[in-house]
Amino acid sequence: MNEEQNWKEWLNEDYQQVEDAPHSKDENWETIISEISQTNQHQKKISKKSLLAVAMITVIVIGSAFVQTNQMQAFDWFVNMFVTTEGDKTQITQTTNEKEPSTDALPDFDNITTNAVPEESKEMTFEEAQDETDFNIFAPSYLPDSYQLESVTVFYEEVSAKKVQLEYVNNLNDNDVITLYQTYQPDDFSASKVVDNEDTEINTIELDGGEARLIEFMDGHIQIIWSTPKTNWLLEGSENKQQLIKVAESIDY
Amino acid sequence: MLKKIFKKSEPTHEEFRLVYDMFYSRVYRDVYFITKDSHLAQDALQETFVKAYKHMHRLEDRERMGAWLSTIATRTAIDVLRKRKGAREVLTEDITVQERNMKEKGLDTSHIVENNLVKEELLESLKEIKAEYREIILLRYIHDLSIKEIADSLHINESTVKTRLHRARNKVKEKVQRDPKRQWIGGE
Repeated sequence: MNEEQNWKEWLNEDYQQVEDAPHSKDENWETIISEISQTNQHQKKISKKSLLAVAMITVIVIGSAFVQTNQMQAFDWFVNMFVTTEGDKTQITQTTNEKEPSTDALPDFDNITTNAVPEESKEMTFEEAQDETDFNIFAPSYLPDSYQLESVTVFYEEVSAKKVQLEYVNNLNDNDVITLYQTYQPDDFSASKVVDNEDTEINTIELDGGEARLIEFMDGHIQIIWSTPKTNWLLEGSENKQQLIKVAESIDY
Repeated sequence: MLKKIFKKSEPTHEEFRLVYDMFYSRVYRDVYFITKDSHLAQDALQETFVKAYKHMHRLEDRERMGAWLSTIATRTAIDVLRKRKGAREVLTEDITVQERNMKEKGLDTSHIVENNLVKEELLESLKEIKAEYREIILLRYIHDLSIKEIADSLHINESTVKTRLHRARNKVKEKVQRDPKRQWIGGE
């Protein structure tokens, strides 16, 4: 018998030698069926209550007189990023429109327009997530030491996968997490985010030849927001900003 | 027979039970091979069949259901291991543990046929290498999947499969060859 045959034979012996599962085959079956049943019920609930499901505010307008406006071109051929500040509030808008959001005839705070979009999420492996989405998922090639990919979550709008979340956890401290959100935006879009100036510091940074917004919260949490063709990105975590910028720059589109 | 069922929609309860009965042992052995722990293997087994139920309609070649389930099983088992606290201690190549194992076994070496000794060492070393390497070894040597089949199933390219297989063998080789009496088992 040659060595490779030995190798296979031993592996097969090892493969056959298993410790019994704690539960019986039928008990495991019941657990599986119960899990499937719960998942199905959950999905039905989401579709029925779509308007009450996780809501995304697509238009948020606060106040009626913004006094300071700064346009920033993230990648000037497709996405504009407008940062508008008034008093203690700053609105960051990413849009494919060329003009900044009009400040005329804005609704007042009591008339905020919201569109609720049903959103469902599933955790899976990176490969399964790639299989599930129609766009390429990119991961950073650089991570601070001791960070490791913990989970990949795909978010669905209606039935299509539009957003992917990659969560990296510091093996030395489970509370340290770096999260990357990649949102596919093939069509024209406009998205806004409003932050409180007293709790945050917003700066423009250069990222891979384009620009991004770096938002530093009082508690040390940092977000970086930027766009590439058909995709919006959000990277967040509590690592220092140099490290997070390095992570963002290591994404090879 | 499997071609006739699960054409497009989710399988019925009876159809799914049939698949479960047919592949329960295989899936459990797969996940146990990766996790080497019955509790983790059980978790991975349950998750594997839940995933399989949801995605059964995507499987085009029902005759390949076993291989398909095995790749879901190994991926799921790796995920379960990753989620487990302290898993790194098991997955990283712990030289101290390895040396201790060798020392303990060294007491018997004069009484054991060399082949058995190599086998024992080899199987022991399998527990110490990364789960991703065990996955490749399982699919290639136990389920006899081709490089291309593994690549397609895991959504990685063929060169990555070859590299992992090469590294997996080298890792085992390194461990076995630490004792000059051990010999390496042939490669791809």
